[in-house]
Amino acid sequence: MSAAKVTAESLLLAGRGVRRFLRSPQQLVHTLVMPLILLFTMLTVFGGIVAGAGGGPYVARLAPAVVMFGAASGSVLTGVGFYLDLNTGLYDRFRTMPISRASPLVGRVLSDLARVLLTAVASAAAAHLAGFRFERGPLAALAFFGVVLAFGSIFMWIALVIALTVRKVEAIGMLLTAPSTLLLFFSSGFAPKDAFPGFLQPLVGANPLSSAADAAIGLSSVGHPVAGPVTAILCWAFAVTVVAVPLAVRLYRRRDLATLG
Amino acid sequence: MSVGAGPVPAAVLAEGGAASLLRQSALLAGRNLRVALSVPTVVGMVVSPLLFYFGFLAVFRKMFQAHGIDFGQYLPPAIVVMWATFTAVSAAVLLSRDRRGGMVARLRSMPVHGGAVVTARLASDGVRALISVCAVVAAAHLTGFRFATGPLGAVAFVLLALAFLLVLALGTGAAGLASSQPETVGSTLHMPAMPLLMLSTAFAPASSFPAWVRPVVELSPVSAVVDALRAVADGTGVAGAVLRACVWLAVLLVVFSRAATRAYRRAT
Repeated sequence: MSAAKVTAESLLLAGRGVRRFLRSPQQLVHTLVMPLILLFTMLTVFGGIVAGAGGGPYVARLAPAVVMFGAASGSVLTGVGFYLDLNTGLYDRFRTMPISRASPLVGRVLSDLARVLLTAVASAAAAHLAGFRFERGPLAALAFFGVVLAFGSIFMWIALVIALTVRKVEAIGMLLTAPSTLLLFFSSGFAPKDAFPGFLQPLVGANPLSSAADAAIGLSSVGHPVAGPVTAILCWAFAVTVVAVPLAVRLYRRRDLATLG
Repeated sequence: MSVGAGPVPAAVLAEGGAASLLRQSALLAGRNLRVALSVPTVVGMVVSPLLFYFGFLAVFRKMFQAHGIDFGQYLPPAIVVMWATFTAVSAAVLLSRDRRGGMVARLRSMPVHGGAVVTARLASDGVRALISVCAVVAAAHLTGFRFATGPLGAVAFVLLALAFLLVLALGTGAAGLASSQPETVGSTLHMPAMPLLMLSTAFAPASSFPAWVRPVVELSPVSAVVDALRAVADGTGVAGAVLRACVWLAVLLVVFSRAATRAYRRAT
């Protein structure tokens, strides 16, 4: 089984994943419209209250947070999509065909990272209308989306592990939505760390969504730190990858053995 | 005369009369609550509203303080109204699921009162919302939320919140009965729910909004209900605020109950 063959097959299956996403109104609404509603309503409701407290316009803080939250909550689609592929016979069908075992998993990872990137670009473009700007130039903007991918991959791998573990499809949404909402609130995404009560500040500082949002704020707006939060989110992504990737691969292979009996 | 699991007294099965409506609704409401007694729904009823309460409080308390607003007193009515709205949306999803699963059609083929399905739905959602409201008020008490009006004010607060839920659930219920695709019902109703909630005085006073949305915020029925809940809790300007909320609820009740009746007649 050559690497070239796996690559070709994975890209083919990744293309399927991206096409399915683009042709599903429900998924498009979930990943494109909901973050924008969140952005514009938060901006309208709290813009007046927050103005001045964090330095700079509120959208400079809120837009990166909403982009990160979109990447986190979009992982529900990864989990549900992978679960359905596994449990409605598609992967069984693949196994009867002369394709690599690895290709469906790699294809899923590629298509879902593409989706994370696509939705991040769309959200950032919409935030532009509300005054969000990449003040640090094109290279920093690229790094901004790199941070989104690193943060999105954390949730994507967790979603894949969950999809391989749960028995009921309903559990996936709950297991992913509640933690990502919790992370969003107790992060520096809606308000800077100093605005939180003292005893919560260490928690807010340790939150990976804070690191991701701070890194993205630093990479888009002048006058915010970059190196610290970027390092923190890369460490988070590395740590989760080291644990979740082997786990997902193991669960995926064990599933093969179990069904083949 | 036996249905499924056990014999049902003949008196329960009648299509007319207030007594049979009451008994059948109670029976079906019990069934609805048992269906809802799973881990995800309990999380949705109690854990999620508390999460939102403490989340918003942690993020914005200091900033509201700078504007002279005690957010611990300001926020609980917002979370109560937010949860009433989410409960109403889930009522629509559950009704739609009953329609798809054939439950509605089955009940219509039986000698069951025409109003029982919707009444039972409202009754069980009232219970679910009551649990959420009590959880939020209890948690809010820990962070400084007080009824200046005493126990009577607390009762009025809960009743007003339930009235809002029941009226809203009639409207969403009509949407739920009109479609046999629960997923579509859920995502379609969730989308307008969020701006409707946020573009009101629920989370921030009208004066802090940009001038162009202020008229929307001031006119919103959500604002009317939230302002009345706040007035009842704070004991200031109660009569006017409650009257305004009641007028809004009465208007919506007329519109939504007609929609719900029509949707139920058409549902198959």
